[in-house]
Amino acid sequence: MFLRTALLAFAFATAAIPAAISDAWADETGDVTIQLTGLSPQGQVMLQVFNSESGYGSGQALTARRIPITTGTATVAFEDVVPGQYAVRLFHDVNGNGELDTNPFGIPTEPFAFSNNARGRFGPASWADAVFTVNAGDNTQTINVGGQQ
Amino acid sequence: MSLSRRSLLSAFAAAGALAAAGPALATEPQTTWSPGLDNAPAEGFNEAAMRLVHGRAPRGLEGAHFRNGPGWFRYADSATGHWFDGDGFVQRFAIADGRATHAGRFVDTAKRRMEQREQRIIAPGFGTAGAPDAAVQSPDDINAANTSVMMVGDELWALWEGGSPTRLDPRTLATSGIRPLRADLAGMPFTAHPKVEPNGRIWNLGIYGQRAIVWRLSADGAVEDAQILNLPSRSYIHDWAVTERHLVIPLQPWIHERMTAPMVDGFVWRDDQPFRVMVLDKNDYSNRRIYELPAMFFFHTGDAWEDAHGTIRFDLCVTPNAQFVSQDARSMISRDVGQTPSAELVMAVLRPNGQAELQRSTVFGEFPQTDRRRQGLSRDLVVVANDRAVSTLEMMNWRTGDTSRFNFGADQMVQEHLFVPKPGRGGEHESWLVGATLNARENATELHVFDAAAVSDGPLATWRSPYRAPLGFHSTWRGA
Repeated sequence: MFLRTALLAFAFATAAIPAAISDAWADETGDVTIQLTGLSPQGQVMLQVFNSESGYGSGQALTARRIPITTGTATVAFEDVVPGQYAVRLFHDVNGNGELDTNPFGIPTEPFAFSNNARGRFGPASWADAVFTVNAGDNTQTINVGGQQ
Repeated sequence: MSLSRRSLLSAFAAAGALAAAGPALATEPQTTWSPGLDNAPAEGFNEAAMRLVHGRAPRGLEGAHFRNGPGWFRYADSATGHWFDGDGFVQRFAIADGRATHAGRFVDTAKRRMEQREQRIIAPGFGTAGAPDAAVQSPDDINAANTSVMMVGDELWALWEGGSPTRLDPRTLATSGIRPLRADLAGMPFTAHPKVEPNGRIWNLGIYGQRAIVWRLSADGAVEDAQILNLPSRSYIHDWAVTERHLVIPLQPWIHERMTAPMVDGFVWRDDQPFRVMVLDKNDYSNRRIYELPAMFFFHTGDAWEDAHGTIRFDLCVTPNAQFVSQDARSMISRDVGQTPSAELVMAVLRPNGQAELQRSTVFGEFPQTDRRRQGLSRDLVVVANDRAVSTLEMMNWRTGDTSRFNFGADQMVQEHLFVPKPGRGGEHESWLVGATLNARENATELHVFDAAAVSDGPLATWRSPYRAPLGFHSTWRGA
């Protein structure tokens, strides 16, 4: 009916592929700063980065970060990123149990968000809505984790 | 008259289904619904005096009748797909010192904010497909808060059925947001028909496919218990009933068989399947029994009770099929009134030996209401509002078989009327009935007060607003 299995699949096992986000052979790389807003000052944010639609769809992340949250905002930086297309998804593990908690019908009870502040329709945001381009030089994504815009 | 399932099925076939017994349904014109389906003003109605146009207020009647229903249906280039998907519009009819006032405000939901900002219908709903770019991360993102209201402590809750209650200030009708019930149960469904025991305890269901949550709340809204049940079928469950000892969950054969948008298109009418009633022990949900009645469709029950022998009775308003919800309540938006007949008030009787039967009334109408002080307890009376071929308010006494009916006449759309106890009186008859109509001829919303013991005498008092407000669904009374 509502989010159901689509978001259950969103659960963050941090079985991210331990691949380097940078490529030493790239001529020019970018730096990516992800600014998180709208947080309640507790717990941790679990964040994944994807560099392909297939990886995004299957949950095979390029890399992942765990960010302790003590204020209403947080910043995550990735350096020397190979230019290209990426997407980020995250959830705010408010109670710090390492999981995206759901209610008994499978609907998340902790905030989650995507790059471009993309929002899904009864499930995660699509790759098309969440994808952004990393160019050489500085790149910034601001993601409101607080839910309603 | 009491009929077994088999004989009732035969009766349906012979009579051309329940509708055929309705009063003059074939000859009278259908009520025009369109005045009740216009958008209310976006800013609502500031509190304003209603004009007394008939009778006078009974001494001792002081309080407020709150009512909720869909109040916004269309923008310039888009419209909701179903009556049930309009934005919740809460109205307050306040009676004090013999005078009445009316006020109305939209519930400030996330859905409404989004759609007002973009001036288009976006959210998917029960009968609305929604825009392809609609973002839905929780049921409460599309919560229309448009079905009912209840007072919990000092809070007025606007209820939907697919998500959480929304909290309003009963004095200003201002919205203060989703009412969290418990953090781990955020976004769980909560029907628009909670049942409040005489001691204040609140029971409710939330339906999700073939599963349900049974909520048990204290009088102040704290969750005492919440358990998940598996249901025998994916039936559409809008209302239910409780007795002192049991939960009574009707499972009609309008079955959600596939996921699609809009949701209503995923339901299929299965008239080869029975209308099941699942009865659960309040103290042990695994202790359950299933009864079977003939296929029929219902939205609303009165209340249930059980006698000393264990027989459970509950009244409900039924139609032969799901045509209204699946078709007419959609076409109403585009001003086609549809042809669904009035629902008939019937009494389901569930015997301790497992047999079930249906008692018919020849009373037609919807929005059945009883003396809420008797929730789950034995009673005689139920009142229904008929807003179809005829515009009547009719009281049924199940013990005596007596009925008492008032006909408002053409051009009146009769809405739910509530029992309001007379001060210091305890009998069911010793109540007033307070409810609204939409008077299409006068282009006005009216508030009426009846003596519950003499409905056919007509209203004791009628007040009229200088404008018309949208039709509503359900209401609650808060005494002064």
